[in-house]
Amino acid sequence: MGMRNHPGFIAAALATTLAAGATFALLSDSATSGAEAIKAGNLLLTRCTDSWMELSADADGVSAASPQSPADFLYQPGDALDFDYCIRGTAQGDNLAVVLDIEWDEVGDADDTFTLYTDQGDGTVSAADVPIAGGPVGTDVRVTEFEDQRLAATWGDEQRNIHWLLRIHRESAFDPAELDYEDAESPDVPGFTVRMGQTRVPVSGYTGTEVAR
Amino acid sequence: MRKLALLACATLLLAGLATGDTYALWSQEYAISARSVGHGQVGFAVSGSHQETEIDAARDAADLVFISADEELHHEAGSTDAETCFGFTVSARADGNAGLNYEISLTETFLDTDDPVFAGASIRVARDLDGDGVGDNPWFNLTSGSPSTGAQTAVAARKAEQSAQHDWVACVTAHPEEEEYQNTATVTVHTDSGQVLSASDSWNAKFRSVTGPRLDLLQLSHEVFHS
Repeated sequence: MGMRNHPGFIAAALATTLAAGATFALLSDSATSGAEAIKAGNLLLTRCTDSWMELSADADGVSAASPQSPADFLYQPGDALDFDYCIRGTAQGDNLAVVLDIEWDEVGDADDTFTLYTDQGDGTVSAADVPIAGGPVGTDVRVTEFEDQRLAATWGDEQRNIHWLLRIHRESAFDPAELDYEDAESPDVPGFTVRMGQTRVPVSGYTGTEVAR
Repeated sequence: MRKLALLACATLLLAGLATGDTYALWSQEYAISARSVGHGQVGFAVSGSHQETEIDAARDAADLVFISADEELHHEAGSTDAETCFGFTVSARADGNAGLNYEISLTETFLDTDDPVFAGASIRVARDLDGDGVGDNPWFNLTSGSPSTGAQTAVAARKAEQSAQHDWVACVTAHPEEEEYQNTATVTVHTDSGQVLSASDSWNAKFRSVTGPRLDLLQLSHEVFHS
C-alpha cells in the first residue's frame, strides 16, 4: 500500500487547501455570454422652409392664394395672409413620449390667430391635416402624446417622422377709416420658440393651451 | 463623493416633481424671430399756383382738399372778360390697395358767393397729361348745374409703393358786374360885371372791383378701393 492512498494523507491535503482559502470546486463548468448592445433612441427637431400666402383678392380681383415676398408686400386693411412655419420632428425609441411646446415671445396683433396642424409632410395645410390647437397669437401651447396615446405603444424601434405646421393668420376687413395717412408700420408677426422634448412626468401646472393626444 | 452626487440628483428630481414641472429627459428647441410686415400708406394732396398754402393734404379718407383763389387770381380774373387759367397738381398714393379715385367739384362757397368777381363765374378743368398743355384732352365744365368732374383714377397698382401726380389746368371765366358812377363837374365864373356864369358837365364811368378775400374755388374728394 502506497503512501498516497493512505487516508491520513488525503485528510492532510484537504486541510491544507481549506486553510489557504482557495475555492475547491468539486465540479466546474463555464459558458461565455456575448455583450448585449443597448440601442439608444433618438429625438431630433429640425426646421424647414417657411412660406406665406396672400388670400385676399389682388388688384385684378383674383382671390386665389398666391405666395408673397415679405420684401415688397404692403399690408393694408382688407388683406388676409397666412404665414406657415413647418416643424419636423424625428422620434425613435421605446417608452418614448414627446411633448411639443410653442412659446410666443409676445402677444400678437389683434388681427392675428394661429393654428397648429399635424402635417402630412408636404409643408402646406391640406384637407388631410388635422388642426390640433389654435387661438390668438400669444397663447402658448403644449401638445403631448401624439399618435396613439403613448408613443411607446406604437413606435418601438421604428423611426417616426412627425410633421407639424404652425399657421399664423392675419386678416382685417377693409375700412377707409383704418387707412394710414401717416408713415406708420404694420405690427410684426411675433416670434416664438419651438421645443420638442421627451417626457415621463404628466404635465401639470401649465398655463397655456394644453392638448393631449 | 458618489453618495453626495446621487443625493443631489434625487433632490432635484423630487423638487421638480413636487412643483409639477415637466421633467424633460431630453429636449431640443429653436427660436423663430419676429417677422416684419410691410405697411402701405395712403396720401392725397393738391397744390396750385393760386392758393395761399402750397399744399393741402388730406388727413384721412373723409378729408376734402381745396384749390383757392388768392389775391392775384382775384385781380386777374376781375380784370378781363377772357378766361384766366392756372395749373394745379393732384398727388396721390395708395400703397397696397387696388387704387384711388378722386373727384373735383365746385365748392359750396364758390356757388353761393356774392363776390363781385366770382359770383356767377364758371370754371372748366382738363388734364395736362404730358406737361405740354391740355391738347385734345376733354374739358369738364363745372357749373352750378354740373359741379363735379366725375371720378378720376389716380392710382391703379398694388403690392408696391405707388404714387401718382396728375397735372390739371383750370380756367375761370368771370363776368364781374361793372358798377357805374356818374361824375359831374361844375365851373362857376364871376365876371367883372358881377355876372355869374356857371357851366357843368356830367359823364358816366364804369369800374370793376378786382380785389377780394381768399375764396375756395374747387374741392377734391377721394376714395381708396382695395379690390
